[in-house]
Amino acid sequence: VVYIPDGTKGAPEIQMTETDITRKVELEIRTLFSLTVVNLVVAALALAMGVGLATSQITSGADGPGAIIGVILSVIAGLLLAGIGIRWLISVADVLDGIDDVKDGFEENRRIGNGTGITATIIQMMATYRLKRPTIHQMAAISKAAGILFAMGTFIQGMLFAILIPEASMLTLATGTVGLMFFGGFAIICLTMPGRLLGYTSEWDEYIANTERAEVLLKERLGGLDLGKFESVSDVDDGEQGERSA
Amino acid sequence: MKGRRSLYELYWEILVFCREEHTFTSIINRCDLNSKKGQEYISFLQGKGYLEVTVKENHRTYETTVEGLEYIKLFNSLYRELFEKRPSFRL
Repeated sequence: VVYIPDGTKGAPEIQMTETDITRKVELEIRTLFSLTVVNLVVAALALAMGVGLATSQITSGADGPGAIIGVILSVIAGLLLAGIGIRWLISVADVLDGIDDVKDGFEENRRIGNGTGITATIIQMMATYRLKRPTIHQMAAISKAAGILFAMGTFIQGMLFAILIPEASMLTLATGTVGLMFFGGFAIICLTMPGRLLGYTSEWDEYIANTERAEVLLKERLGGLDLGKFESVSDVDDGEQGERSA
Repeated sequence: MKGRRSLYELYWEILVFCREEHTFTSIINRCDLNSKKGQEYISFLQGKGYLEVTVKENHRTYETTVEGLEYIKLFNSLYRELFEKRPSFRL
């Protein structure tokens, strides 16, 4: 019998094998890990480029009021980008810590058969997601902010570049063009990242909402509505290790 | 297990762990619970007939009953089925 998320029973369906589900879980963990690593790389580059943008413009020795305003804006944008890079790295490290736990749990659980091991991994993924959800949202917001700054940096660099073009050497033109392409590329990556991250969170939010509907069946199983004080508890925070005693 | 688990997930974890006899201390250690919460959950499951207690040489051990195993089975099928239906997340 197949249980539909709203609690009703449906017609039997072809079900995935244990191996199929294990592969799906593995793919999901790998995908999130890859997404987080991409975030890590972009965050580190945002930090480096922010510092680079700020310091290179200070030492550029630009002349004229237009160029000086451009330098000031670049320094501000660079410092902001560096700050965002640091905050971003901290968020990514937090999420990576959760993914590491899930990966370790998955390796341990895959040795257990009868559907129990895979359920344990699914629960661990959900538990980690519930805990890291705000951080993932934070990552998406930071990525967006970095994208805006990269876009601003691209614009400012482009303007400065345009001012310098008449008297620039071929080497300056070449390095300037490459720099602009890098900034523009990172702006695009950072601005598309929130979509990926929020896509991930919305899929998990939906899954958790479905499991909450499935809990109606579990509640029935545990004795109808006779759950007493436990009924109102939906989530349990595990930060109670200190209270643990034998 | 780190993270935030629902009550039903915690019950499942306790019952799965107690498929073999375990003491109270090993249950709360394995399931990352403090002693107060652990006592509440175990008492609840015991009261519902999902866990049975055995006293041997002053040691209380807990083991999942047939009803508890049924709960595990139902839980596994529900979570697994919902996960099967969930679209795979891809980059």
